Amino acid sequence: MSTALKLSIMALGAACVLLLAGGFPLMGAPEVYRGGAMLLLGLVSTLLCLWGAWRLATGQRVRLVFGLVFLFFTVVGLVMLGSYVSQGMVFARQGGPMWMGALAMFCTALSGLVFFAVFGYLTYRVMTRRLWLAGIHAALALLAIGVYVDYKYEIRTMLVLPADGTAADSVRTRAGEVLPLGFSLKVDSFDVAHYDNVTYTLHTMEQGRPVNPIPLQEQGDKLVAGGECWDKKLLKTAPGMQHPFYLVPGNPPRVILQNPPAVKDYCANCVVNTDHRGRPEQRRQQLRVNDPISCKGWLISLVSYDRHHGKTLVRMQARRAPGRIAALSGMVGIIICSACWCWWKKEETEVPA
Amino acid sequence: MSCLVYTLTILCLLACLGTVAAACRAGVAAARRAHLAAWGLAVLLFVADWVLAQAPPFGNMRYVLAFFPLVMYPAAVYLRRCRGLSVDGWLAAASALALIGALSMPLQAAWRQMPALQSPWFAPHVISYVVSYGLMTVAALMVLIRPLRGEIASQDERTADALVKLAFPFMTFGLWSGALWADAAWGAYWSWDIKEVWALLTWCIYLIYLHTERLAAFAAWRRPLLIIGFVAVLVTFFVVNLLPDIQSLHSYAQ
Repeated sequence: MSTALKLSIMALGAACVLLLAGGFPLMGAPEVYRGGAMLLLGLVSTLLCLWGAWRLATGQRVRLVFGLVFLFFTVVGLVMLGSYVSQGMVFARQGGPMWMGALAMFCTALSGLVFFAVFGYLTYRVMTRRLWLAGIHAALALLAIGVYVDYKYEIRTMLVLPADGTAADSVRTRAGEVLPLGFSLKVDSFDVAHYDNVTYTLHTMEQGRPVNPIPLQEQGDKLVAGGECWDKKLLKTAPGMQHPFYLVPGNPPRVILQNPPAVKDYCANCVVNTDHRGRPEQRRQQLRVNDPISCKGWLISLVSYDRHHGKTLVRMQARRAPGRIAALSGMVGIIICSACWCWWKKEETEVPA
Repeated sequence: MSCLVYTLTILCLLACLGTVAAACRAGVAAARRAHLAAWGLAVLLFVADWVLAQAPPFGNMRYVLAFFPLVMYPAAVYLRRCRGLSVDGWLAAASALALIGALSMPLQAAWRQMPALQSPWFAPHVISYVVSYGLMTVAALMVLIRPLRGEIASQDERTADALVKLAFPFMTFGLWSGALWADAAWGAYWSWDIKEVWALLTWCIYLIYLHTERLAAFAAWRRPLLIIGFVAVLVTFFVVNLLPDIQSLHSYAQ
């Protein structure tokens, strides 16, 4: 065991050196992240993790398997509880007849609670501190496998659609290859919400560009900064300028700019035409920044938007990552197992390695 | 409101310094009372920050530093009850350092939360990092000043070890919850962003520290590893955000 531990320390040390080489703030070489050395190190680390999990679970391997299965169902219960409660809250906020839907969601959430309680108790009974440590190693190996599968087979490309109902049923990769999505996606409309603040800043002009912004205080119709005062009505728009401005006379040349309010939220109202068991199916879904659309193995994420001549272009990312589920499961496993290993208080009999 | 925030920050800082003084001079019970008072002020400061920001106050470094004392007292209670360690003075010293940092930064009035930050992951991700970095700081401070403390050095080392074991799951949660969040928000769980790389590097250093626990041959490495880990924490938290000309997906943390 001590040889494996020493090897692990060496592998971790090598990983630190490579990360430092790539992530050094000023002269780092990020190419190392996708280099052969990193891949080799990943392979060695994965093998060490698997070996560590195997050795740590000596004499308790069946318990470990059962414990991890119970842990999986505990997490499923927790996710069910969280998602149904949040959906119920959405329905409850809409009020009126939607209260019935909210009630149904809360009742379904109870099944998640039962799952969580039952399987959480079973996990508690089965697992020991040593098995949690084995679990961390197994989860790290799962994460590494998922990451490698994604590294080899992930497809990630941009998808730009106008918000006028134009449909797309394929994406073009960076290499120029056209891949069918297996469904069609269109953006019917695009909503943007702003915060209610319009701000004003005073800039010095250097080589025709505004620099060194100084925030201006608003006092009624006046803008004030450092004893100087200007009327808001002085700000005008001009061709080629998106927002009102005012060139302050004097030397050095200065300009007051009206800054648009910050974007609070934006969402694309999408229609997904797909099929379910051979039957055509149409889904209306809102695509938000933290809420991607998942369909037929593709994950569509909202990235940004552009406005040109009154037309909105929605920038999305289409991604097919076959190792994603393994990688994400590994991450969840690492989080739970490390917390249980570090904080576990249950009395147990240590099994010698 | 800005005036109130500054007043509360200064009062909380004084209470933290009082805790440190009490731990050194008046004993454990007085330190606990002073730490509890500092925590009460930290709660008020957190509420005032929330009102000022009109959102959960984690949007910039000042807010995060001002949040430190709020989590240090529960950590002290946990360590006292579950591990039998009395570390109020140490944790209050870390809080005081954080509050001095917060006072040196400009107070941004209303913080406009951008769409990517409007996620249920946001608060747990930031809070877990605040807890872990705070506790790792204390662990590093303990071993840093070890040569000055003579016979109680071994106790300090044990306390530092307990602090790392308490903080490591928070650091793990912070790192991997960030990846889970990025998967939803940016469409990729890992982007090799400089902040992510340094967070992973920091995590790996503490992993090495934990691996050396069972190896007597590496016992002499443990103290330097804690100090190196602390340096990595500082780079991750401050340098990566404050250095100019660095392109980072985490630039909103500046």
